[in-house]
Amino acid sequence: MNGLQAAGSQVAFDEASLLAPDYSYVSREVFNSEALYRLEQQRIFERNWLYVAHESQLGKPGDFVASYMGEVPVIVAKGSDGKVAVSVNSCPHRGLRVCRVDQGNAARFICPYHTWAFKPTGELVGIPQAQKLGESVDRERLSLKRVPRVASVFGLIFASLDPDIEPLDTYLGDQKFYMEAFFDRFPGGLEVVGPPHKWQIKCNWKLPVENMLGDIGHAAFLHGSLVPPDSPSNVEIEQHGITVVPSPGHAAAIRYLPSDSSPAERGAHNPSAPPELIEYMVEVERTVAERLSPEQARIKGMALGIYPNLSLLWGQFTLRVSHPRAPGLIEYWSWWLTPVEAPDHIRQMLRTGYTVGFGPAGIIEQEDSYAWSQQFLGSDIRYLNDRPYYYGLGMGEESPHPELPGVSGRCYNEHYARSFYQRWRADMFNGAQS
Amino acid sequence: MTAMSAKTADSELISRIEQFYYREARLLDERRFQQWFALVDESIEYSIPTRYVPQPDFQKQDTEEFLSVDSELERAQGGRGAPLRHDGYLETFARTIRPFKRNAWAESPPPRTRRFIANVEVEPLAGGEYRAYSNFQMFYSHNGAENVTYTGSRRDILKDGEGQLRICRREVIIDWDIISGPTMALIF
Ligand code: FES
Ligand SMILES: [Fe+2]
Repeated sequence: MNGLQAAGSQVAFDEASLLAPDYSYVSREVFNSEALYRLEQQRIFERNWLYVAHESQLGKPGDFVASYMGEVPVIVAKGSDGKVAVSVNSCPHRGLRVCRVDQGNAARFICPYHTWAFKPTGELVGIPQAQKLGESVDRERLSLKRVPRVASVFGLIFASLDPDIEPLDTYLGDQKFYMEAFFDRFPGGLEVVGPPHKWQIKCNWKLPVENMLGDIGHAAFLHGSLVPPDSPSNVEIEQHGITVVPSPGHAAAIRYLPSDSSPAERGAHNPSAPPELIEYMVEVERTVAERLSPEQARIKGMALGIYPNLSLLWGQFTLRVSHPRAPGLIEYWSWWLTPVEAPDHIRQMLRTGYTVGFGPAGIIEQEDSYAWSQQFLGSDIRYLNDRPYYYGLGMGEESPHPELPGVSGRCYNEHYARSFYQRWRADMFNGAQS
Repeated sequence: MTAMSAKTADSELISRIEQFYYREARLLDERRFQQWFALVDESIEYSIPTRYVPQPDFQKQDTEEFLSVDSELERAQGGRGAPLRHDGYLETFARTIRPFKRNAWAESPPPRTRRFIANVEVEPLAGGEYRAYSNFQMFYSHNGAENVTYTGSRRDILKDGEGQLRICRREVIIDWDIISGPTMALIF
């Protein structure tokens, strides 16, 4: 539909001017427009599966974490029945947040204003004033609004505000092959440690997402002070790095090593890591082919992206969500993941690998967040609305991978981003009820 | 919080440690990171716990424990915790050397910083070591109009050796739960 009217706004979008038909150009307005941002909240964040928590954070009944689905605050909690429920964190009486902390274990949440009480899973327990008036209330209606769909895969809990969304399994499709290659790689599985590291970045929410979907080529440039272009790790990326798109919006950025590569080559993610850590990683690699598959064993991953806003940095063991706050503002949440069975000294080394480079105190990610916020400033130059961003690198080079699921492009091919914007356009403008 | 040690510092010692902190702040503000690094002991443990809002323990109501700052800090706990940062000597070195590269893009051109150190308290420990508490305020200006103030406290262990104080331990307690400045990859 052309000239689509964004809900609640006077701005009419000419869809054709936002994105080139082959996605080789993306308008600056895609990042800075307030009206598009508002529309994204409805058409993307209310209609997709969103990551809300990790199962390892909810061990026993009453355990909860506060999270967000787009801008919507939610509580993810384990009920007395052992099931995970997600409900919207806003009191049905006058709207206050009933859960006012980040995580923990609770029997009840008490709303501050008139002290209505709720179970962590959202059910209304009591209204003190109604008791005094001797009135009965519609408990169902006055409970926290339940998020209609919740499902887990590989320990990751997803939820959707759309009751009619396709099953999570179908939604992820072949992306599960790449997820499995990481999340099931370590015998005993992975756990999230501690509360997330949260920071505000003055950028559009799509930039970090795009970066971790497949911008594997930027390391030697943006991070050239730490990963020089001629360093062995960058040479390996240029030689074996590919981005694979199993379906538009999801992608995996990996090095697909030759079939005769050794566990030592596959496990050495950071050649300057302590020898004990490299040994540990190599040991894990020895059994991946039997436990998973020979193809998954050859994957030396870099990043995964799950549409719309979940990312994983493979070698740095960090999971992250880009929560939208405004066209030029996100709250970025980053968790440290670690193999459950890794001994303590290995966990410490893995954590160093994460925190020195990544998270709010990381010297690598400091450059990413700098680039992302500068991109927003560039997007805000109205005079350049006739000069959309170029996304055409590698156009046409991508093709179905002979051994792996999805369409694959070599390092520097931007097809992963083109297909992200293809999915974005479909969400935003196809079948929209105007 | 622990009670003040029975041992109290004399004013000469306090002043010496304050001078050490002022010098440290000046070196960092003047971007003399390698000179600053010379003040770091090889045994350094430089950490920034993650600050978050935990579910309060209602059993502790009406006691100081109920509002304890420590309960809001996610520390390293061996390998069981997820602080923002937990560096040793090598990692600290990496952070001091990087800004001098022309392609350290986020810091080239560099931010302008101004550190203020206050509320210094000193407790002498055994073996020529001192525990010192201080508050900091760091004004950070970058990219024209990007102006941020970082505030927090520091809990240090300083060691006296050959007439030179060195930092053996520094724990930085930041006042943000959601980091609202461009980066925590700075030296506080
Ligand atoms: S607003 Fe929650 S009880 Fe009144
Ligand atoms: Fe990066």
